[in-house]
Amino acid sequence: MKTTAPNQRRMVTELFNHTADLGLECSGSSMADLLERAGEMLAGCIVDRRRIRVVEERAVTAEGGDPERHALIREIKAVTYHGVTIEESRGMLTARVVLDV
Amino acid sequence: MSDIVMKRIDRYRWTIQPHGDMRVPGIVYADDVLMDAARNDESLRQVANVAHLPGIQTASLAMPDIHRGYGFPIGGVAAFDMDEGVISPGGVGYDINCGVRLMATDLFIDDIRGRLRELVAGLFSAIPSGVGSSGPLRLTNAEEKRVLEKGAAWAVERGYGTPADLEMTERRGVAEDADPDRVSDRALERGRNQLGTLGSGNHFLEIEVVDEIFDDRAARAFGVEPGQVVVMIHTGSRGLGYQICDEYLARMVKHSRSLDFQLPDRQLACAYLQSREGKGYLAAMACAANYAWANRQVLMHWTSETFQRVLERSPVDIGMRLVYDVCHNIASVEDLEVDGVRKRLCVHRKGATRAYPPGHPDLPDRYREVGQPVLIPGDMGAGSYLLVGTERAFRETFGSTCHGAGRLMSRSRARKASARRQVSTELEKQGIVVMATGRGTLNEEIPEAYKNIEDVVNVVDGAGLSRKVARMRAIGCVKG
Repeated sequence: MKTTAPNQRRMVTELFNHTADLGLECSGSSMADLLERAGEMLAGCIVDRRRIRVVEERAVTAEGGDPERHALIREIKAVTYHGVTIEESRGMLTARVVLDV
Repeated sequence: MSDIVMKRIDRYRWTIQPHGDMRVPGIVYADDVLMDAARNDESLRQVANVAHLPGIQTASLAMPDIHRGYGFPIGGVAAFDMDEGVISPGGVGYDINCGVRLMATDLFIDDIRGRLRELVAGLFSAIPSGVGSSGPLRLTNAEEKRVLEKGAAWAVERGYGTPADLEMTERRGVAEDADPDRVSDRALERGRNQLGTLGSGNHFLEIEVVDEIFDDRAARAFGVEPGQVVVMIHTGSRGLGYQICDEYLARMVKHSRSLDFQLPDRQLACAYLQSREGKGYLAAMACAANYAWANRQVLMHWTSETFQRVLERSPVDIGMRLVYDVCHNIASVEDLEVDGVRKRLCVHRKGATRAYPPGHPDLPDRYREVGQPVLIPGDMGAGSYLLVGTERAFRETFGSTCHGAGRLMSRSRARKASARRQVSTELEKQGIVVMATGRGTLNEEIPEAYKNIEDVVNVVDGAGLSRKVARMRAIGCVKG
């Protein structure tokens, strides 16, 4: 997976936060890039990212985490299909998704 | 703002005329205030969307606590023909068999007044709560599957409560159509350590006092009287239900592409009841429903034990007994009425409660003459209502009524609105002792975040969908 420069990582926008959910938008230059950013975005919704730093890079397959080490911000109960879209414009892909929190 | 045109039928009923591909009209139960609230989100559009689904009977309905859900609105009720109709995970919700249990005691307010803080602290430590909380129960794979098959009866067999509790549970606490082989390993894993936990969000365990009786005869049958201490538990199927909903929804989104009709919203993905996909979801959903009933049964037992320990009194002295247990997120196959004719249907109640009338054969003997108890939790601090089902609900709303107050404010808006407030101190001033696991939960659950429970209950009472029996006020509250 291609790595992104830190200054490009700020493309996550919180769209809306309505009744029990959180609407998010993120963009990427390719589907792989978009999914990477979406993954970062999701992680950022669950744990405080200020306490996460890059120590080492390696390819892994993993599930779960250690709640003792990270302050959990919220529980994502589900990623919904409510108004989910992926749109292409000027070579960028933009995804919108609503999380049930 | 909603673009849906609402036509008023009477003081509490509004209709959406069929337009586009709607197969039936929409009917929304609300007064002016609640209708104004509904117009501010997408929920009325969602009532119309549900009317597009094949096999839908009579009308797509919504209760006065209507607000925007995923696919179906919260507060939505829709019944489908068994042969031509569909089943939709979006018509049940993520927290399958989220529900409410009300326990009565032989205690009165004066019996616990000096011990309230101790009682709440005792319950707080005995009942695991909070985001992703796990409990002391550790189930093997085989044991968890028995929970999924047997529901509340599993808990009773293991010594959590008595067979009499099953009598007082909707469907005797078991969805018979459950098949654990339809549940994924991931869902089983999520459920394994969460049986006997409260969860977070709007779930709670509350000590309440009966404040007012509206119907003496029904109150006598239900065994409640003014000043009496009761306990209400509001929780569901935890991570297991979420996982099942999530997986079947994804499956049905794919499956829906092969169907012979268009969906107005992907979240309404569904399958014909007679299809392999439809039957699979029904069987997996039933497993989550059973898990939730077992969960509430276990929590009731620990509540009873805590009362005994803290008050140093025997089970007989405390006399804790189940008044009733209802689910308010479910699809269930029931014999209901369509234009005065009995018909077997699959009714979806998403944020709606079954409200069977007097004389219904499924009710326990003790309640048969008055009708089914209906439990309506209010927001934190507002107290709760005990209602009773009616003949009119059976004829008009597939035996259904409202389920609660319904959110008005987002969780983050509620947090911001109450950022500088000490919510627990405010509640203490009102005489409510509250303990919560999550730092932000109390701020997210401030009373202003919800519709007024009185308004919601007055609509279903006024429309004849259920009748007020008693109002309870909270004195102690455990939150996730």
